[in-house]
Amino acid sequence: MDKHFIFLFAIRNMTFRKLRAALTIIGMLIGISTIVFLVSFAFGLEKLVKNEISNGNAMQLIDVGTGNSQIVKLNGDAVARIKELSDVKAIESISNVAAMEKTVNKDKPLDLSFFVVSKGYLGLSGYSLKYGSDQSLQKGDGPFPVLINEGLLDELKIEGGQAAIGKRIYLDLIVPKQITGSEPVSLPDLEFEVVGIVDGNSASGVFMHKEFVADIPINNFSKLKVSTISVSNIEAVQKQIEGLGFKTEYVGETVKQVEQVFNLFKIILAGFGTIALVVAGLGMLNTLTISLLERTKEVALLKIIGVKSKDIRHIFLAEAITMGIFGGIIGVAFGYFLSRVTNKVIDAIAVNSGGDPATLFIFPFWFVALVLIFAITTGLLTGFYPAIRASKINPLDVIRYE
Amino acid sequence: MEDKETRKQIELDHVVKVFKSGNTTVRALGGINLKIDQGEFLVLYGPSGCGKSTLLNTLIGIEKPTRGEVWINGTNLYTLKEDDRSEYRASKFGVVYQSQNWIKSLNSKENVALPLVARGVKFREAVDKAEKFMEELKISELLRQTPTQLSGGQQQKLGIARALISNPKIIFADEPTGNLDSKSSNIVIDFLMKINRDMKRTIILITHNPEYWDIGHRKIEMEDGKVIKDVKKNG
Repeated sequence: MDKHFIFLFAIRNMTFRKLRAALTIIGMLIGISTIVFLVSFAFGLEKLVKNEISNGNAMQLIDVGTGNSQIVKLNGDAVARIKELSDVKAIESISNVAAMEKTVNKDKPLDLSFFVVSKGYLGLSGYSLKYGSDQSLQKGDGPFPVLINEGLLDELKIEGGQAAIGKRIYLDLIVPKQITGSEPVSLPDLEFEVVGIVDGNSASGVFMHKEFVADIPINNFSKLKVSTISVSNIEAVQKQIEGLGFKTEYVGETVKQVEQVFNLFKIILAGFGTIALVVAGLGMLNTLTISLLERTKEVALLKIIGVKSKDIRHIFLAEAITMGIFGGIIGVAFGYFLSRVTNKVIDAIAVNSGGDPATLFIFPFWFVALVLIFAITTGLLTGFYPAIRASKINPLDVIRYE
Repeated sequence: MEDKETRKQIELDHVVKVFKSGNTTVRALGGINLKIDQGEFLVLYGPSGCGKSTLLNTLIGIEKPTRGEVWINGTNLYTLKEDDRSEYRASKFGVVYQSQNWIKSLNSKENVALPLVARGVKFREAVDKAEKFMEELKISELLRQTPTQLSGGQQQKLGIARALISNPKIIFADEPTGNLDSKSSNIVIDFLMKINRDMKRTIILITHNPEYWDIGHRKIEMEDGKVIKDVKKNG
């Protein structure tokens, strides 16, 4: 039988009983839009969290440390050994030094984090320069040039922005023994010049390049950042570094854990939506069964005219699938609309409270396609029973009854 | 057993139909033997419950006989599977009932086109053919209306158009005038006679109305599931 007729017939039957079809489709719409709304929210949250964890090229980075080991040292020799490993692109280092600022508030000295970093460290760590220039980080005869974190400006009572460039700060440094490799060293009252302001995602601190610290005894590093040539072989590199006795951390592992948590979260949210969809499916089954009971005479007529049982089944399945398609498309569209509106409202509230707008809902194409397939499958499944029942109607029973 | 080639258009060999309802057994057809020629106009009558409609349902392939064989154009009808019988029915038979059933979501010409669609003709093509056919039958005024909006007589005409659209060789009409006034009844009967005369279609008409018992080439009276009178008109 002509497939075009089967679907045209399905649509005609739906439009013939408009209110009933509309109510059934609204049921589907609620189920599908709930799934779309909740799961796209989970996708959005997952992306926000993952971005927070793994900004920049973090997925290609391994953090290397010594853990609590007193034997393994993270020094120039360690850097040389790691550099020899295949697939290692670059190694950057950071050494943590304790610092104290006493000039701003004489009664209450300010404890600061002071980091001695290799040249590429800040870039690899996702810091970006907001004001000033990296090029100014040239050691002249004057004070040591440093970059400071935006969050530190208030604490040092320095005006923000471009005005902060060129300001002098005075710090007492205490280089711990883990960094000197022997005894701690105290360096009082050193003068520094702010040459740049960085924004970043970690605690506020002062950054100085390793090249300028000839007179500061830095022999060990607190941490190394190892970048690899590609993401695919990062785990192999990680294993090799661990083979050298170091402790490693790779943000991908955290991301994987986050993904696992969010996958569970998505399943739970999709579960709520599925309950709504199952209720909608039962509503559809009810509609189709009532429609079949009303149309017993029509089915008998079709059989007497010569329509095959197989085609009768297809006619009822087509109605169920058509409702599934309509419910699916309208449901996805409504879910999308609802999430956009919700995102706008939340953004407005966030901006009013001094926050940043964010994308809270994400709709991967495969997910939208999957939801549509799910809707059509629900339609198909609910259509089976009425379709089989219709195909088994004996026209004689109808004729005799009349 | 006769050779397939030498059989008449319709043949019933000792057709028996027994219905069981609880402990009661009803013999609706009690061994019918009947041969009908192509182009014949046969009128079947008899009191209610005599087995006329059971006979018709057996002939169109929806009531399997308890015993006996039904041969149509050399095909033993009940050796075919159910879906094959449906296909056979769609191509060979046209059926008109006392009250017409319609697909309510389709208009008149789409309803008339249904037997063609059942045979696998594309819907648009079938509707075009239905439109032309209704014009040929001079009922084009019914084209765009919904069948349930039509009068009883118009519905019967439309039902006959639907029965004829796939150019079947045999038309079965079960009390087609049962719900009509005499004027409309005459129009419907004239319509059937015209089809028999001009299009050489075999017509099997079941009717209670004695006025129409003699309009065909042959009349058969049934009683208690048996043929008690079989009269052929001369000429």
